[in-house]
Amino acid sequence: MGHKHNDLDPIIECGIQSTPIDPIKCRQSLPALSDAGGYVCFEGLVRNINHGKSVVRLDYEVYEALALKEMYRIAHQAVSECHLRCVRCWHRSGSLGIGDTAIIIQVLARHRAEAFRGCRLVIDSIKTRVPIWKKEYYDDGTVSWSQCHEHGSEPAL
Amino acid sequence: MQSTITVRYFAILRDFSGKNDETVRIETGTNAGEIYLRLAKAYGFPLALTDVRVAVNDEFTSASHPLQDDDILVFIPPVAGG
Repeated sequence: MGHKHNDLDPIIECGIQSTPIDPIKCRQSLPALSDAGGYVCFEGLVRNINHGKSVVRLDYEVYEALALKEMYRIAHQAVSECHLRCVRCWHRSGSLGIGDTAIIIQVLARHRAEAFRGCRLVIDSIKTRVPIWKKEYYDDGTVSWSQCHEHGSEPAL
Repeated sequence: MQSTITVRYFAILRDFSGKNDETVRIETGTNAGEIYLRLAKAYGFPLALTDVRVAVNDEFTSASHPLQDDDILVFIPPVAGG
């Protein structure tokens, strides 16, 4: 269960993990902040189609030392720009199947507008800035490094 | 004067070089971009220098970064996390 934080300092926690992300456990360990009225959680899942090709599984490769630094920089930036109380983010490495959680981002803020905006900022920044690569395996036996991130192809809020 | 640096490869650049890392002898002060062009020619990298980002000693920098002995150099192809 989450524990009580009375500190006004924001809580920031980021990680790369090679084991499955368990969203229920992430929710259970969310810090209890009595002044946070908005909680937004984003999970990115492995989709079965990318650029019109049928994906059967993928591998995430991570330049871990720099990826972690950049994730923390993004989290600090979101905290400061969106007045967040907490940002937690974990990204997978290794082999994933369709439907697996590739990333989870949890954001707490005093109000929902800040929480939505902060969560969006974190995921959009991670997609363009963090050194993580995706090797996709297709149902026709071919394999390729996904070359284009999705920044710009997602509709704006 | 000569220096020895380590180049680490990730993703598509690892596939093309066929290795995780290697040590490279350089003239001290050679910039990262020059090293990329040399390696791209040797391994046939499918990306231009302008398509990759540069990191030295686990921090982002520019292609004009002059390299010193024991530096760890990484070229970062377009990312696809999230």
